Amino acid sequence: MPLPTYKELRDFCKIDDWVDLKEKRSAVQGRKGQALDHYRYEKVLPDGRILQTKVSRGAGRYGDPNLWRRIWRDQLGLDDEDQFWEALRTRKPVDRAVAQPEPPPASATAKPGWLHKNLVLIVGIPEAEVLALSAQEAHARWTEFINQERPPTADE
Amino acid sequence: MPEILSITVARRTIGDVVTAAVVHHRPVPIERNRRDQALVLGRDDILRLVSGHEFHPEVFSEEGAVSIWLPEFALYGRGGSFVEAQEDLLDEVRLYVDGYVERAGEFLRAPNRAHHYPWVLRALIAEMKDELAEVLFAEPAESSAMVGLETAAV
Repeated sequence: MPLPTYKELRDFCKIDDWVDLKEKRSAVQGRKGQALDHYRYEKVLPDGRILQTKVSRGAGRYGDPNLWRRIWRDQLGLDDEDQFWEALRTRKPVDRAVAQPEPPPASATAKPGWLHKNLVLIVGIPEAEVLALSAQEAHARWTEFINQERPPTADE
Repeated sequence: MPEILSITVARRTIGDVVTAAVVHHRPVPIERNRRDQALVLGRDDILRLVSGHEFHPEVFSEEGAVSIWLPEFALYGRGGSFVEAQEDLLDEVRLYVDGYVERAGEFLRAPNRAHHYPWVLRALIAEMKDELAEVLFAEPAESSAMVGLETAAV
């Protein structure tokens, strides 16, 4: 299945009756001096869930299926990616199921942020090389680094 | 049990209340109209309560862009490099914490937001201490423990 463009996600939010948070958030953003570089949307579901998402103002499309999966599942509150494309096709809002139990907060297969940071800043691997590693390879490189023998420091 | 201060007494002795909570680590219960109850805690004592709530950002890369997903708040940052994506994510977290605090009653009733509360406090305290990036990208304790076990097994 193709990844959506930013415009398609903006269209989805309009079709699915999301509220544009621009006015609500502009006060906060103004205080922080941040640019309004995204559209921000919110939808409150009948079961009380509050959904929020942001969409870039520019042209272009999402390029990573892992990120897109998290957006449609955890931000748009969809059970299935097909619901997104179906809403765009029929121009009708999504009929969502009632709240499901929350998924565990972290994925076992994703590359953790701390690991990326440590491989670049502590181990000294170039960022492009770290980005190309799988999660398993990244963990292996970090474990190898942790376990390698080093000369004792002055304190030792 | 410590005495519950009336709001009138608490207002009159606010300096002592803060000293008790922050310097002496004493929780100070306060009551208004025998109905509304509050508990004043020092920042570092609240941090003790929420320090087990760690963040697990996930890094994804694509042609010309890096994304970092934060599962604890269902947010992401994106940019041309890891550093840019990290900066974007930090801004997202600041905005989210602002929004959550501003609408706390509403968010605490939402089944998909209520459990974010300890992480919101964790991020808020990290921002107060100017260490939000370090806290978001800290190696989780369970991961450090695993590396320790692997090292011990070698």
